[in-house]
Amino acid sequence: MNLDSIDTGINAPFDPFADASRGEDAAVTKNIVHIRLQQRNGRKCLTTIQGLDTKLDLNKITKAFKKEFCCNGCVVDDAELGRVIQLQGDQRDKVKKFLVQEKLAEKDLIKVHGI
Amino acid sequence: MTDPTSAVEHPEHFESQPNLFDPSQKKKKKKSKPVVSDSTPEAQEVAEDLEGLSLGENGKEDNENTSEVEEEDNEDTPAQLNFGKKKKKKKKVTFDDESLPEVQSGANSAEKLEGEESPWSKSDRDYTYQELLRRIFDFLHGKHPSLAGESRKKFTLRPPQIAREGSKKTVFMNFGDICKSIHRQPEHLLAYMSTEMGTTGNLQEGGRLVLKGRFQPKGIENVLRRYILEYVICKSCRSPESTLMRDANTRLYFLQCESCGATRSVTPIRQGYVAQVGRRKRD
Repeated sequence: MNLDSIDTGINAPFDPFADASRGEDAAVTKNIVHIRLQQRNGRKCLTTIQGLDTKLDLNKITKAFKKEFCCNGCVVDDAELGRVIQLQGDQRDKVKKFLVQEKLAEKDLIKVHGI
Repeated sequence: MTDPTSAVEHPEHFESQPNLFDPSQKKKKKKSKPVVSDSTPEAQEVAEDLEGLSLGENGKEDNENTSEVEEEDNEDTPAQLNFGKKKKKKKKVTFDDESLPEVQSGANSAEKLEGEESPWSKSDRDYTYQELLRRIFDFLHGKHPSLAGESRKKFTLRPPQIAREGSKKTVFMNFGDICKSIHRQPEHLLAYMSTEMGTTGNLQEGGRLVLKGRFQPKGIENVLRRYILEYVICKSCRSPESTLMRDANTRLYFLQCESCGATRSVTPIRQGYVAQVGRRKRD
């Protein structure tokens, strides 16, 4: 995984006005998109994307993901968490880039989990 | 612990060791700004002008000397960020372009030789903005070096020591030490790590943690880094001196900073969606 993509500004130059420009919407924690990596057997893994906007057509997005990243994937209905996209392999960085580029989710609201 | 200086000085004893896990290391390339003042670009320019000004009075030799000293400092602490070279460049630019002529036009050569004496003491002209700015920064450096922003303590941590137990378990040797140095309960860090990595782990005596599954030190370091950013660092003042408290009524965790007193709520540790892997249960 590309290490620069993790936003860890622990010792970064501190801008106290950073969240002033972000506006009020950032305080809303509900529509955070979680991108997780789940281990399978061996070096295989699964990427899950949870919390995308319900107005979006997840089937179409999954189709685009599959074509773009050359992997298989599907949409799973979960009772609590709504519809979740599953992709084969570690696609976390690519998914994040894709979502930001296509303006499906804001960069600050995407959270990447996993090792 | 409300005194900011004492709180900041605390992590100093980690810095003397050569092999340190500095959570900022990956950011190293991206950081191009000098730490002179972290607030706004305008303030930075002013601060740089200021340095140029001080050099303008003593000449170029001094400039070289100071930059050498800075480089030496940086060699001593490899985990720290290297700002020396960038700064040096900027200094020279300001020195050549703006500050020098201004100083010379303001103060005549006799006053310049005196050095420490304020340039306006012998004439009844008005003070220039640059001179007054320099004056206040001199005071600031003299009386409150911590406020001047030059020497902000870096938050460093020992790297996690990872060993393999058998072929399917990973042992995190200095788990207890790390928990102690970030002032967190081992259980909390364990809960976070096991949800993030999707495994289970158990604590052993001697501060060791055994995780199920094979993990690389780099991956564990990444998880630790994210934990520190989310649950340790104060977002207002960036200090790692903080405590995590659980509010009994709301069942939320709150992070209170011990150096600035700010409080914020932290996101609860949640597993999220777990896909079905492996064999499904038979009905």
